[in-house]
Amino acid sequence: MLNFISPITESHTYNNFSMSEKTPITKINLRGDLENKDFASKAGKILGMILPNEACTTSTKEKITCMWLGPNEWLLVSNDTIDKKSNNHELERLLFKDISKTNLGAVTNVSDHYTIFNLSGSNIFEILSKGSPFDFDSEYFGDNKVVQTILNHVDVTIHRKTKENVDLYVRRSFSDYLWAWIKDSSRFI
Amino acid sequence: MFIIKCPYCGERDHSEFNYGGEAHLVRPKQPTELSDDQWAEYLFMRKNIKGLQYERWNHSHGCRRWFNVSRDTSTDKIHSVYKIGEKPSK
Ligand SMILES: [Zn+2]
Repeated sequence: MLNFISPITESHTYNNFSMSEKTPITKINLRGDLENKDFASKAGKILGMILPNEACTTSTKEKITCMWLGPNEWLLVSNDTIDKKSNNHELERLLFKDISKTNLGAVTNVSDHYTIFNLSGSNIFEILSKGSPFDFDSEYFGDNKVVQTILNHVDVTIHRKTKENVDLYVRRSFSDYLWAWIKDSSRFI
Repeated sequence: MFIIKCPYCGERDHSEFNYGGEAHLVRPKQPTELSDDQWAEYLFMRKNIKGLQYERWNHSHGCRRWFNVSRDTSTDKIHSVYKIGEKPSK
């Protein structure tokens, strides 16, 4: 983890809604062509699972979650927090060696690019709906789904783990602004 | 407000998308052999019709992929959505 000071310094609770920053987490953006067998098998071997191919789906193993971001793009996230002082990501090293170096795809470490807000409570989607055009009640948006959309003019990635537990990914530079907006919005539900 | 069906993500609100101009324009193979008028024609002149128009759109706040849309400019009704490189179904 780079030595930066997160703009989020608190946890927030209002009635049964609560929100806290989840840090530090390894986040890696992976791009490649799933129809290329070399890429698919190398990525599968390193991750220990097949990359999700269907829109907005995720697959999870003990240590890593893979999220579909586009037809040739995924976000790989560590399930557990990592050592704060270390800037050494084993997964990045493995992927870089077998995928980047061999020109099968692109591996980008975005660990410090995104901030994760962990939201919990029974009214998360009521709050998010206030600032997003996405239909969170859609039958396609169940548990373990991921969606990229807009929340109060900011690009976000929303990972619904359960109805009452959601991880929200936002660019670090927007995190202060979005934190303040969610905090304020949660008062009116 | 209207809904666009991204060929990758499915139905989403149009505010997640950006318009990318007319689709199916082909860059001349030998630009140096064109007159200024012909080059300007390719570069700047776009259809601006009332009716069915073929357009490029980008799902910029979603999967960030480009695709084509055939849309009626007078009613905003979308007739078809198809991937880049594909021909519109008439
Ligand atoms: Zn899309």
